[in-house]
Amino acid sequence: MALLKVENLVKHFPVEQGVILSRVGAHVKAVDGVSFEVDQGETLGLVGESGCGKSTTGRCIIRLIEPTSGPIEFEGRNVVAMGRRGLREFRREVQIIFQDPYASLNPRMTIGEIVSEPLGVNKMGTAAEQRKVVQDLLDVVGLNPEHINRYPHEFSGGQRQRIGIARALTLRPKLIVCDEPVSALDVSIQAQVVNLLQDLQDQFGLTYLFIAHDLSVIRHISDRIAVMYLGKIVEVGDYKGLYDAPHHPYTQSLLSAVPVPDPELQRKRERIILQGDVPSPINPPEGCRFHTRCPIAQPVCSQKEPELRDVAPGQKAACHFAKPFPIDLKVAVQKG
Amino acid sequence: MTNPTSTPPGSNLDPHDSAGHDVRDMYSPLPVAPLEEHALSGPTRTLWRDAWRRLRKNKLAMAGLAWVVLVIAVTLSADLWVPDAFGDPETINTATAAQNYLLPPSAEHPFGTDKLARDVFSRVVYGARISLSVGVIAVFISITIGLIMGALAGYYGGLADVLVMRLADVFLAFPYVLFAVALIAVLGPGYINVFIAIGVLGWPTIARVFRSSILSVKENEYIDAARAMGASDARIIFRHILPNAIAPIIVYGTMATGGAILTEAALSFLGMGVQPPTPSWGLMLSDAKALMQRAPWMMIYPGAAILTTVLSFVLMGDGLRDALDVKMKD
Repeated sequence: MALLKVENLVKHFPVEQGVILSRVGAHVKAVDGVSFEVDQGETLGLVGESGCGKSTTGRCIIRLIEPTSGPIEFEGRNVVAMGRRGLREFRREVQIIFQDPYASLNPRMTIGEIVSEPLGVNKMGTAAEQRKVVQDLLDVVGLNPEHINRYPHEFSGGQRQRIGIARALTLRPKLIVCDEPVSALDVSIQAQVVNLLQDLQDQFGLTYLFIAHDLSVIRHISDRIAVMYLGKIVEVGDYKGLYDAPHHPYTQSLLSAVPVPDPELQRKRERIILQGDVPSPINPPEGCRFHTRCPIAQPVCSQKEPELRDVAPGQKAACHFAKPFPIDLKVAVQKG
Repeated sequence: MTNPTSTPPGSNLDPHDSAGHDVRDMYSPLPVAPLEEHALSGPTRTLWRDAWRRLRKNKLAMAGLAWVVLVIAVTLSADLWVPDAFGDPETINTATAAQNYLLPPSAEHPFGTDKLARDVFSRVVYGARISLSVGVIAVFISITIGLIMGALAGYYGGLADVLVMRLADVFLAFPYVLFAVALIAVLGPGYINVFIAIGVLGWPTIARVFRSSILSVKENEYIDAARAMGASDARIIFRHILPNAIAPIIVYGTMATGGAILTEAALSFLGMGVQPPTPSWGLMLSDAKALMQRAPWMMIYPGAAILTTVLSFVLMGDGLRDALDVKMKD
C-alpha cells in the first residue's frame, strides 16, 4: 500500500477584489486535480516551472495550506478530514524542509532550540534528553554538535539547510516533503545536501516528496518523477524511463533545456524551444492546458482534456499524441 | 587533495562535513580557531540572557538604567531624608513664608523655593513619584492592550483585523488631549484616572506598529515550520513572532514613557491631572511658567528632571533593541 496517496487534489486561491466590501472575483487554480502515490521508502520528484503549483501541492499535503478538495491519504488516513488531535499525530510523521535556509530558521533561537522544538511541542523528553537528541542530530547532518548554542546567522546557507534538515528529522518522521531544499544553495553545496538527504533516507528509511525545478537534481535523487504544468501532472514515470524516453511534449522540451557541461555539445545539440508564456492560472486554456504552446498541438487538443494514460510500463502521460522522444544528449548531438 | 602532515589536527577534512564553512587555509600549519571547550558543558544560551549580557556592555543604556534606578531609589526613600514634605499649604510656616518665598538656590534650599516658600528640591523628589508612575504604568497599560489587539489583528487577520483596526482608527480620530480630558471628566480627577486615561489612549499606536511587524514576520518560513511540527498558536505567537516583532514596540514604548510624562504635565496644566498640592513635574512646570523671568529655578529643575528621565528611558530602549538583536557583535 502506498504511504501517501493523493487523489484529484485541488487548491483554488480566491482573488479578492475591492477594499471595503471585498468580494471574490476569480480563483487562481494553483493545483487543479493532481493525483499521485508515494510508496514507502521511495523518492517522488515533483518538477515543473515556477508557478505550476508544485510547492502548493507539497504544502497542501502537510496541511500548511488547506486544500480546496481531494482526499490525501497517509497510511490510509485522510489528512484533509483530520481534526486537531489527528493532525497533531500526523505531523509527527510528516515533516517539511523549506527552500530558503535564511527565512526558515527563527533568527532569535539558538540551533539547539530550533532543532529541539518539535520535541518541546510534543512534550517529549527532559531538557537533558532533548539536548542529547539535538547533538546526535547535528552530528548526523554533518554539523559540529558543539555549535548547539549558536544562532542561525552564524552559519552559511548550506549549514543552515542542514539545520533545517536536522529539525525535520527530530521526530523521526516517515515522510519528508522537501520543498526545493537545494534551489537556494550554490551548486557545489547542492550536491552535498542532496547526498546528505540520500544518506539519511537509507539511514532512517525515509520517504521523500522532493519538489524542485532543477532537472538534474531531480534525476539524481528521485526514484519516480512527476512533471507538473499549470496545476496538473502531465507526465509521471520512473526516472530512467522519463529521462530516456519522455512522452509528453512538455517533458521533452523541459529535458532539452537542461544545459550540458560542455560548450561544444551545448552549441550543437537540438533544443525544443517553447513559444510564448505560461497562461494565467486564473483562466487556464480549455482542453489540454499545454496546447497553446505545444509544438505538436492538433485541433482536438483545445477541445478535449487528455487523461493521464499508460504510455510505457510504469509511465503515464497526459497527451493525446504522446510518443517517445529520445532526448539522450549524445544522440541529439549525433543528429546535429 | 589534502596533506595530512601539514593540516592542523581537529580540522575537518571530509568535504561533506565542512560544507559551507568559510574558506580556510587547510595547508599551512597556522593554528585554526580553538574549539569551544565549554560549548557543551557551559550554560545554555537563551535570548534574554544574551540580551542582558549585551545590554551590560552598552554604556549609554547602562547610564540610562542607572539614572532611572537612582531616581526610583531617591523617590522611594524620600520620606526618610527629604527635609520638607511636598508642601501641603497646611504645613507652611506662615511666620517665615514672607521671607522665604522665591529664594534662589542656596545651601539650605538647593533648588530654591517657590512662591509659597516651599522647597523646590523636595517637590521635585516627591513629583518623581507621580511622573515616574505615570510614565511606567500608563505605558504598561498601553502596551498590554496594544500587544493583544495588535496580535489579534496581525496574526488572525480577517474580521478580527478589520474590527481592531477600525476601533483603533476611532481612537486616533479624536484629538488626543481632548479625549483624555473627556475620559477624566467621566472617570473623575485623580492620578489613578490619569494613568488609565493616558494608558488607554496609547494603545492604538502600539497595536498598529505591532500588527505591521507581525504581518512581516509571519510570512517567514519558520512560522510554517513551527506550524508543521504542530505548534499551538500561543507558542507560535510567543516563541516565534513576538521576539522577532518586539523591537519596534520596545523603542516606541520607551519613547512613549517620556510622552506619557509630558501628557500628564499637559493634563495637570489644564487642571485635569494631578490636583495641587500634590506635586508632579508637569504641574511644577506649569506653575513656574508665570514666574519664568523672576524665578527661573522653578522651571529649570523640574524641567531637567523630566529631560534626564525621559532621555534615560530612550537610551535604555535603544540599548534594549540592540541587545535583543542577535546579529549584533557581542
